[in-house]
Amino acid sequence: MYTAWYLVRNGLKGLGASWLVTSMSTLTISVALVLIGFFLVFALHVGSLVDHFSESLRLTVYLKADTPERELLKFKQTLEEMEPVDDVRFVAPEEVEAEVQELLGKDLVAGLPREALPLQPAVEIRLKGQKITTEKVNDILGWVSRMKEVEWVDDVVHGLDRYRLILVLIDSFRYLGVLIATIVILAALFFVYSNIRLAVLFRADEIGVMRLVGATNGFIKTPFFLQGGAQGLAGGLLALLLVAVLNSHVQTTLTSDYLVSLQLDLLPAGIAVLFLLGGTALGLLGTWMSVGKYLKI
Amino acid sequence: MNPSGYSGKTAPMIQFFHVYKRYPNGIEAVKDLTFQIDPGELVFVTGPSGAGKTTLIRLMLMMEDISEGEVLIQGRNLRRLKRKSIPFLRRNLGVVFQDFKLIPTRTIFENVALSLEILGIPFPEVKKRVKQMLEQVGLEKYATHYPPMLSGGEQQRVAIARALVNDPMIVVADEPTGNLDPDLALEIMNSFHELHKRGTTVIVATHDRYLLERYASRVILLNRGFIIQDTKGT
Repeated sequence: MYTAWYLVRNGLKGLGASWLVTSMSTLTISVALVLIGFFLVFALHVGSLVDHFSESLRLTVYLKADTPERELLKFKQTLEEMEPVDDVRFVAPEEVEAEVQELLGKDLVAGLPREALPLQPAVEIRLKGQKITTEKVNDILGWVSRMKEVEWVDDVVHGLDRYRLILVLIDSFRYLGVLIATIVILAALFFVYSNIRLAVLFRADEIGVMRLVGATNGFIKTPFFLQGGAQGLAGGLLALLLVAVLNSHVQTTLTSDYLVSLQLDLLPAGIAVLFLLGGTALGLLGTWMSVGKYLKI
Repeated sequence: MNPSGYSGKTAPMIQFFHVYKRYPNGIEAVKDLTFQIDPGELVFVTGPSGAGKTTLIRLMLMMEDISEGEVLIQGRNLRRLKRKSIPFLRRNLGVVFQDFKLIPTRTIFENVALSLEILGIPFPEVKKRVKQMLEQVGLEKYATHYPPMLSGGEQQRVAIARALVNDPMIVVADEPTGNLDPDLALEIMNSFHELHKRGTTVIVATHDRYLLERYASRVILLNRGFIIQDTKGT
């Protein structure tokens, strides 16, 4: 028990020995964790948003006005047998006209020439709910272009380009996030590494004496691991505090200034655990690297 | 004498068998050292600078690897000792150096307590034994002081207290009086002699022949790495 206390005391002593580097490494660990947390929350929310969009993925195929009914039925049947298709609904020109009138107003439509209105038969296709990815969007676009080659098809209307743009933006943001988080993690590791290196150098004489009187490797190294772990844990706690403050600020601003009731939790329980464990792991990893290089016993 | 360490009577405390230490630059610091030290002996190792005194001590402490030959301490062959066992060997050896090797950022109490802390001894016991040890070397009033606040002689007494506090079987001192004036040197040597009289095996490396002559103890004289004389005390 006393030995444990002795090791903890020595580990904590090391924190104060080079307080500037200790503060820098703690801060960098917290920034790294906040960034990782931010990107994780972002990925989580955007993922569910994209999933939500994918549930309502629809295409409208406009057919030529002179499409024979037999071809129309054959086309509808072919579509229904296709894998990604969930439901196919035939939309008569009258229905299209009613929709246009509802959208633009009866008077405006009455003033327009008939040929300006899309008064042609159409088929509305609802796709099966699926996880939308860039590859999936590309597959559907390929399918759409093949559909356009069908003799009776006039045009296919879809919002897939918009999805593709969103997905490209999300992917880019993810890669950027991974890049930034990696850089900040490396910086955090570097600060912990340097801090432990300073502590080892600062205590070089003491370590030499400890070796001579018979201290084991564990006895000599444990305070450094405690020091690194404590720094990491402090970084995790600081990250938790920063995000909690940010979360509260965002919620207050949204509800009071913009009168928006948004259930956006920036600090789910998983993230809090990640901060504490991740911070400690970063601290221990930096220490392990430094001790391995500068405290060869 | 043979490397098994069996001599027919009391087992020797330390045995050297044809020991060599060669450095990568080709220098041989000690050559063909063969001797044994029995329990409770006081042995002075002497010789001019560069004779190999410090190397001999460092080999015993496993601060250096043995190039050739065998060294046995309490029957344990150091060449066969695993690296992770070295700390446990050193715990049986109290060590005193010329430059004291005290930790300047720790109090006198903490410096002496270190030898016990590494053994995991409970604090009340550590406190009791360190207090007793500091009383024994006459430094109890300096327990809360730091080493730089003490004189050279006092610092060396702290180093001796640290070496003795865990009651080692063997005490090894490398030029313990090298930095001290003659009166203090005599005082320190007397404390080693006292230790020997209490039954501890003591090995002192020193080049001060004047001090050696005061004690009727065994002297191993080294020169250029060889033992050139091994005189038993009276």
